[in-house]
Amino acid sequence: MKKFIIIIAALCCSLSASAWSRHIHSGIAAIAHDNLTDEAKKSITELLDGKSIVYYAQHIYDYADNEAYKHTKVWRNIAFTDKNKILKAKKAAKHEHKAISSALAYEGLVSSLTALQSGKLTKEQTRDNMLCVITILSDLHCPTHYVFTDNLEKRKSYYHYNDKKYSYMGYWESNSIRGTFNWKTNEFVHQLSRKTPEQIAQITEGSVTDWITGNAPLYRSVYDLLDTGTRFDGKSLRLWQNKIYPISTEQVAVAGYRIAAVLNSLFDSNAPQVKIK
Amino acid sequence: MKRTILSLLLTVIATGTLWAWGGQGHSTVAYIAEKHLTPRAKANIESYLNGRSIVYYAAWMDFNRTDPPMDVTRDWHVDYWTDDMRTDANGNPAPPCSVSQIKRIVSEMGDFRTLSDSLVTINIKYLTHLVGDMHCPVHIDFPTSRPMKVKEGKTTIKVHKMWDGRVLDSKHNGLSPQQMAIELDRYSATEIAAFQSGTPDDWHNECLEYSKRAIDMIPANNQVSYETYFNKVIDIAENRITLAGYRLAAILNSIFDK
Amino acid sequence: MKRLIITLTAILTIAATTESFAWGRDGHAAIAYIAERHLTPKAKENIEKCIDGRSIVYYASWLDNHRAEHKSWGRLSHVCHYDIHSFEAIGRPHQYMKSTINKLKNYRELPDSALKVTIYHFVHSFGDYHCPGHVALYDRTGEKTKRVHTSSYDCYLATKKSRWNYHKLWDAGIIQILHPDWGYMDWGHALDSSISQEYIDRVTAGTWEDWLQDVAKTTHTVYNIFNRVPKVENEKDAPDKDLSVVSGQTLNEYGEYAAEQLLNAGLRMAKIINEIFGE
Repeated sequence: MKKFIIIIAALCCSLSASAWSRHIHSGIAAIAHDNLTDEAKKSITELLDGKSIVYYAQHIYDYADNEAYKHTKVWRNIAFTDKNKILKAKKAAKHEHKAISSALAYEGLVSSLTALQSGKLTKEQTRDNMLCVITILSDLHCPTHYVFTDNLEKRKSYYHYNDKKYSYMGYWESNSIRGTFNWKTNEFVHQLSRKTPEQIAQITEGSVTDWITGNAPLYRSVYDLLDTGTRFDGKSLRLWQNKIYPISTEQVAVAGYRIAAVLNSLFDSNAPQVKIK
Repeated sequence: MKRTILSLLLTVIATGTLWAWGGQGHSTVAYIAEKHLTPRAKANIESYLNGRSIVYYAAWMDFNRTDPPMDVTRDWHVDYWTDDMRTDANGNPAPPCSVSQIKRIVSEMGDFRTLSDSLVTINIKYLTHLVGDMHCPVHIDFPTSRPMKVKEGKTTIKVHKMWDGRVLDSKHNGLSPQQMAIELDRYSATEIAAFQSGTPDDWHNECLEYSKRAIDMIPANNQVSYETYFNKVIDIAENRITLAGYRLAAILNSIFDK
Repeated sequence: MKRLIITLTAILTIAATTESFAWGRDGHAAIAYIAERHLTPKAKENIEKCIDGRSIVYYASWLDNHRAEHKSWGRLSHVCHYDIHSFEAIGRPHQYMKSTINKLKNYRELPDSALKVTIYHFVHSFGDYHCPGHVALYDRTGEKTKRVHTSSYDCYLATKKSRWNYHKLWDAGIIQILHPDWGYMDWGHALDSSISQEYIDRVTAGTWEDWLQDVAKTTHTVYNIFNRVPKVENEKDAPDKDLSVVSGQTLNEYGEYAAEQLLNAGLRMAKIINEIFGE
């Protein structure tokens, strides 16, 4: 029964959680695809029957009700303590706040990565786990997927524009980029996949866990970029958006490079290995 | 829930446009075709288009179908669910349809160099569009006994309109047509040759089968969702677009690769 | 309901932010992208070095996004004025383009930050000046200078069944209506697949002053297309009897013209950048 309640709670939360929009998910996957080694690209194309990861960028959402992905519905958010440490799954699951009790994205990611590293999966299992890694790692570069236990009120932040009320979490989902750029998939690559090897090395340095905990301070500060209740007019909204898009575009690029690093490490034996922890 | 946002977004944005496949699908067909043109055919074609790509004209017929003199083409976009294509599904005499127009244009273009530039140009625009249209499952005029409207959530949507965009968008909103062509164009040379073989009439019969399947898959209560419909028919939509692309290339190559 | 709000945010924000862009974001990006396709490798490398390694496309609408941050930019007029008989350019906007291009020519002497901003100004304004909505034609033969053609009136768009500001129709309207699913790379590919050298030479012959005069002349033709459309005859067709109706066919003619301007602006922008940054 308890488990059932947790699942329901988690489900409700996952439904209301903000995730990157489809545009951004496919943009991130396209950047990742652009940075795969030939070897990795070949193996992945085989797994996906000739298509690329761009096509499947949001597959686990589209097929969330399928048996293979049902359990991933709670893999959307990640919870952090006031010291920016990842809250342990057991502790999180017991939390009364549903945004925290369902914040199991990190556990999901680790379990998928561990399974992939074991090398004992069937083709289908490999594919499913890989698609989980791609979508979850994308989402873990969206600040609103980071739930700070000491800062829950800020998740309710909102602003007014043209006398209507909008949620800040919802803004990040899509307009953090769409508010400034109308990029389509391959255009994300053209714009953002142009970092130097040194910059890429810096972005992909350390373990997956390092990346995620490394994001936390920045994402915590993102919550402070809006004074809740602000009333914008066209001009002030534009000025405010100018502070946001440099962060959102950079996070999208970083997510793309990191997903590529993980996939290269899994599917190309010559590529640098990425550790989970 | 994320889908509901999308669907709402789409409903709001899409009002007012009613194009087969929408611009995205038609552009994708043209991208795929273009990739399979021979260099000589491509150069010949683009010399009639001021150096533009056929992609530019993929949806051109839809922009033009209401005003004279283009209004004569208004009924060219659909085919009929009967073998002779002379009567519509309800037995009424049928006006010209996409398959017969395609056949007429192909025979007219036998030796394109003897024709006026304007005729060749407009025929390229027609073919680029009509081969896409004939592959769209709802561009076959199905009998009125079949459902004309469905509901997605609380929104009522025409079956035709659902296929003009919503079906593709359910999975590919955000993917540029260029990227979609890359994803879909993944068949071997042998497979492509098989898809390209046959005549427009053969293709029409095949389209008919797909059309019936796409319409029959609508749930009995006419309520569509990702689970009950979109996830099931997306393969059909992709298959139709891809094959339309290959076949458009075959037709254009047969005319212009000389 | 929450979803609906988010949806509306999306739409409103997009609508609100695209409102005042000549060509809209997509058109500006398309122009810069077409230009980029025609840059020499050397010019591309040099100009990207000046803008943090980014593509010029990234900055195609920077000026519109950031104009509110600088008072002097907010006042910049992006409507070009011309004499309707000689098509000679009149007034400040023209001077502004001249000084921008001159600054670029001496780019080695500019401090990095000033150079960046000058490039942002150029890649945007040069596109603006190719947009018919940003052209105003004046008759100076009488005692008073008279504005003959302007885009500040409304029209009725038949295909959308709605009232549109003519200026706004050019600003993004046409491009968005005709190809809502295209990104700037799709525009670049569609318009610039195999443009002949002869076309490029013809369009980029002469100076940038000549090009803008050419824009003014063709805009005159476009305004005439508009003037030739009949006023609405009955209430059923449009909410306002005085509105001119832009039919589907006229919209297509506009679309054709817009496409040509996007391509020409791109090719010309490339020529200027190549000349300045190609060495």
